[in-house]
Amino acid sequence: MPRPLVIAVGLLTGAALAATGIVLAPNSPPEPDIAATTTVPAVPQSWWVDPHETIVASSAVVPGELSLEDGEVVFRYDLVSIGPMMRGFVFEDDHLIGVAPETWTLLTTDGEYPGTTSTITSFEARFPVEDGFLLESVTGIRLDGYRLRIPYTYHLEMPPTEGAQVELGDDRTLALVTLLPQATSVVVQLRFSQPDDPFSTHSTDMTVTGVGAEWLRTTNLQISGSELFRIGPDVPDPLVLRVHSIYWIPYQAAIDIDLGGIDRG
Amino acid sequence: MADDPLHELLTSPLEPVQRSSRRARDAGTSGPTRTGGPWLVVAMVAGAAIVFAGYLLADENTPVPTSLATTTTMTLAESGPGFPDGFTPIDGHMAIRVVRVLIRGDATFVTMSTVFADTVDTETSVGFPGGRWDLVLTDGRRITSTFEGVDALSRGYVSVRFEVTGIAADDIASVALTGLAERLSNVVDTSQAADPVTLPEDGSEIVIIPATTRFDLDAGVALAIDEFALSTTGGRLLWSLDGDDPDAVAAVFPTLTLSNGEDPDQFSITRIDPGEFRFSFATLGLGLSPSTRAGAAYFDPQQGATFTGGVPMTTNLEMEVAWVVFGPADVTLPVDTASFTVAAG
Repeated sequence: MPRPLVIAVGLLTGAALAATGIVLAPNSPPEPDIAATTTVPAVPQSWWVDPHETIVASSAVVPGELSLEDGEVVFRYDLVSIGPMMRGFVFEDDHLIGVAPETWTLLTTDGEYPGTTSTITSFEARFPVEDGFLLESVTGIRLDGYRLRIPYTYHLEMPPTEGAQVELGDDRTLALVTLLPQATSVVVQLRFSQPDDPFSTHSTDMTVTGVGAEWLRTTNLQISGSELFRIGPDVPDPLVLRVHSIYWIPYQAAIDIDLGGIDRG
Repeated sequence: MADDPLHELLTSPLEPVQRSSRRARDAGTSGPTRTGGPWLVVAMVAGAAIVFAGYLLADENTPVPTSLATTTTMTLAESGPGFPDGFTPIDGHMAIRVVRVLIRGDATFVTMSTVFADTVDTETSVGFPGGRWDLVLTDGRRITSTFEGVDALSRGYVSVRFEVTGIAADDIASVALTGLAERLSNVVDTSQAADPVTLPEDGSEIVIIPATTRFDLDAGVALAIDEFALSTTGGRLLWSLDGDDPDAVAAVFPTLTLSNGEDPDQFSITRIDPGEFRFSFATLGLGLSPSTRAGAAYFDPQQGATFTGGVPMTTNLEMEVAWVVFGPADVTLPVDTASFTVAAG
């Protein structure tokens, strides 16, 4: 429709509606000359919990969408940390945080369905459901278990003997695999063992350096270990090592996720 | 298909996917919306306004309320900043909670989670600076912490090491924060510009007295150079902390430059002791606080096998100094909500 015609029609329609309202409106008495006052409870400004976000440990779960895909209900979410950055470090990626949801329960009008998140870097929970399942039956989602990325950094002593092994707790061990004294240096290979855990990553779980200025550098071995280089032919006894390790520790929970405003795609 | 077909066509497959709904919301990147028929709406409103204005002018005698305003009064929060349940405030903007206790054969570790108050922007604020801790046992003993371990990717978590073994979970009464770290840093340098040194060509070592051997840092802390020796094959620097604060600790990372005023400057590779976690992004370590009051640095020639001997040279020491002093704190953290693990051996 041409724009002038649209404007003309609009003017006439608006005028007609306004006139009709004036005619039909009851002749009510004037409002009293007072101001209405409403008092609302104090709501502190909140950086870390917006509406429909749920705190899990030191992070907040931000619901994304709920969908039905190939016989599974998929709950996609985001995680944002309410914890402080390590001093001196800035990471643009919010997902590098210390909490990983793992096990869930889908609550419906017809019952409960268990679900899981597959890895620490997967930001979705999947719930297998039967044919004919309707998203409208979903009444809530409960987080049953999550992991915390717990750092342990410390010094330890180890005898300079191939085969030596140190227990690190939580079924983890550090073993001296190879000790190779050379004319001007010593090479030490260490292997880190931990329970098989497909949920968490392994590549950066443990790094070891030598304590002292003689230890030049460390390289990470391909299979969960470290190779250390030390200046000089002497092998110190004991070896004093500095360990930096990450344990993804499981925690049980019963946290109801706020699904308000979620996109049910 | 997208609501806006043009937007779909213009969207590059290389355009990053906005995965964070919070960031998308904060950035206002919810995508384009279509607004159909704006002229019709504007015209309707204009028509209605004209008629209503005429009605008001024609009915001047009708009493019109002088105020229909609604006033909303917001009560002020009196309880201060808010923290999640279970967290104990350690100052006005941060709180902390014990989440795990690991009792091993060599030590006991207590892991804590820190969070900011709800009034703090987590992206622009400085995190937990480190502290001094006591592990309080039920028999009255207090074990002082020796090390704080953190990880750059585990935001807000710190594991504190206590040198105590052979205890059970029930032996731990609480964890007490007894000092809150204040971290400071500076760069100081000293040179021998007025008194060049000549390194013996036979490789023997000479002792150098820098122009300045004591640097007042701050907060009652001073850095003292106790020894500086150099030869053509390398150098050695011993340092210690001095001053009024016996609890201050530091980390020192010096660099050495030699210059004869004519040839290119000669630089050094520095090795420090106590050794730090020398990975690419963490030259001063992954522990929150440096833990020593004295240390050493060793200088290896960067170009070639040796420094030049037999030639008068100026030595310049530039030292990055990071030091920590502890302010008073008296916060007791319960451990009843923590998980306990006692390792075998």
